[in-house]
Amino acid sequence: MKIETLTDGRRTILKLDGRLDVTWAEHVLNSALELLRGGRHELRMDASGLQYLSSAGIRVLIRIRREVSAVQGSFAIVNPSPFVENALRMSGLGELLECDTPEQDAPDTGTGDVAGAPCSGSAVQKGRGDIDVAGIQVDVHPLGAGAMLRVQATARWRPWTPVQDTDVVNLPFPRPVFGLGIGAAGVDAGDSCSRFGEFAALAGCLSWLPAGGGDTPDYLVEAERFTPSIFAIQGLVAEGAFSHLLRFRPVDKTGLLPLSSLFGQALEVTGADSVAMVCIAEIEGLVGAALSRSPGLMTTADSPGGFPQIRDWMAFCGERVHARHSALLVAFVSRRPDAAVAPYLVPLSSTPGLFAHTHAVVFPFRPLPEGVIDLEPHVRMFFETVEPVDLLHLIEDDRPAVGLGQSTFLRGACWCAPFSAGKGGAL
Amino acid sequence: MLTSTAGTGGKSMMLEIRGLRKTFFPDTPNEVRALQGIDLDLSEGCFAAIIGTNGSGKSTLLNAVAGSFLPDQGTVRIDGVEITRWEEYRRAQYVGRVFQNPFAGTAAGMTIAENIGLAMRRGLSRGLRPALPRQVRDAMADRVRTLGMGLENRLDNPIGTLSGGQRQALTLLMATWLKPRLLLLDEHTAALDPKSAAQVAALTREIIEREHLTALMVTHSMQQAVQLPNRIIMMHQGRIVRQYSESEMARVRVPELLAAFDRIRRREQLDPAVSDILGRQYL
Repeated sequence: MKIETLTDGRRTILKLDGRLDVTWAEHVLNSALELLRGGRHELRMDASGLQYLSSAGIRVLIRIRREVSAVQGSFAIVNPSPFVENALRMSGLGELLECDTPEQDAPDTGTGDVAGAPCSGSAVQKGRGDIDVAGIQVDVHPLGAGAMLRVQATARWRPWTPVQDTDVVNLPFPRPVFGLGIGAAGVDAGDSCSRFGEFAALAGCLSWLPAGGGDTPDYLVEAERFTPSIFAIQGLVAEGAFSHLLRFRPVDKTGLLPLSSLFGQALEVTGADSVAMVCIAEIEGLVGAALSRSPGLMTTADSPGGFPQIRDWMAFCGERVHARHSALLVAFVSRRPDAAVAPYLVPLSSTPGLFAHTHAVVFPFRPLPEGVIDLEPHVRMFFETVEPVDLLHLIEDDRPAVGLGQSTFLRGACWCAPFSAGKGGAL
Repeated sequence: MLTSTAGTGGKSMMLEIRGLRKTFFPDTPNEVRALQGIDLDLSEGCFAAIIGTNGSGKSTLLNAVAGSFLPDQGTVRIDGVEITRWEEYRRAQYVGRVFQNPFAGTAAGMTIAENIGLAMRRGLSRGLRPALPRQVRDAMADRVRTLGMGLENRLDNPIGTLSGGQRQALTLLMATWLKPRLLLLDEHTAALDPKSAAQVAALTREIIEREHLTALMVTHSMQQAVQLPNRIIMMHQGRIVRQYSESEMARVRVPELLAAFDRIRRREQLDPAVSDILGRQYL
């Protein structure tokens, strides 16, 4: 199979020469996904050189169409050989052929109405500004003037003391609420205590990494009358409206956005000292750690904070991980944290004077549409179509020479707003 | 430290290891702490695979059970009999063994029948005797026929003329001829071509199930580890760090084992400097 990539204005044409069967299906799929990843959402597949199309190949075409539709792009087969055209029509997929496809206008990216701000319901785009970070284009979309978030530390366990019954709080996460912390979903607090691990919740979706239960996060998704909730021993919870959406993407091959730069952008555009944010981003590399044993299993005889005991309680990523995956981030960052949240934000070694706490839920890569998008449907797209593969508390590895640095991202969407901290209790 | 007793299901213990330690070249720059306090129980009929990275101590553990060396500390009991200080040859009455090298378990210049004749008297006194009686040869041929390799018609051929796979299959048959209380398999398919390895692996499972043997198998093949035994013991740096019980084996697949190894690797990377970072940056 020979694949040639051609550009025709906004359209990108994949010219296939050979057999699209089970041997080449994945390769062709990855080639198309790679174009989508690079922001090429108007795809055509020139099938003039395609000698054969098997069911595995058809399956790939359907998958490409689905992925393209998810980002409001367009996909069609052009110049099909008689065999390919017949195979598609016999399979009921004639609409994949360009001649059968109504001409689609390219979606207007970045100027349309916004159906609703992620946290508070509706919001209106009022303007747009651009910020240049080295190698990265950041588009700023105001969502609601004066929008604010209220943030509370609703569960207050801190390492490393044995967990008491009074440390455990049942935290519900309906759609308007987002947050992060340590906890586990279960029947009751007792059922959960052996599995406390990091969690992140946003847009009615809650994911947590059960400590000691392997490497795979579990998750709950809001449905009808069901609201996800978690028994948490530590939790920062936010509710309110987002004031800005930042869209960022690389403008050249060196373009990377370090997490601390994303924090800096959010603080700059909001003009605030404290910002809470959620983000969907393509990962260049994550640096983080996670509990490998539940703090609920700690006794007074344990001292997990020291070395080497900490090896029994925490897992460190060891290398930059999850490149080319997608991350859902929940983060709280502040220049001058209020006393109510200060114990739960840590100083960033890369940016003196900045304090933050970030959890990342990692998924297989899914592309995002360009321009202004809603948070909720795109978060739910992840939970409803693919499984989370990891969940990390992000850290900065500042070891001399061998340090892994901080987490970096290639492109994504970040919803943010200033926050004011409240005292504990229900929001 | 894990005590490896999962999956015993209340059956009698065929192998019991307590606090086994072995250090090679102690107090020298080449010191290797090969076994650092192994506790392990295998119930009768249990087939366990030992997996681990190079130098994890899996072959050392197998050799300690076989009696290839004496441990520094700890005890080994087979079927209730403590054999910790027994010489290797004396353990042969309890232990059958198949090595990685298909040429190691047989005498190349002797015929198939002669090799099997020796295996038939493993652990017993062997004197000068007349040629094998007809009925013994017939019984021998019947048993060799179960290998499905046509070797029952070549009993008088020198075993050195056989392929590695055929020879390893015969070695397996010989090691289990007298139904040892414990069968030790030391990467016994590693030196074979893929087809022969698969054949010998299938035979291994078949013989162990048919004879209801207790077996301990060292392997580097994750595929074998999830397919053949009913228990997995994972070793790292002379310790048992993870085990998969019989009930867990129903769902364990190769990626999970690889992920477990990755966790072990990452654990090693959590050094004092990273510990310091986590102390500052983990809430």
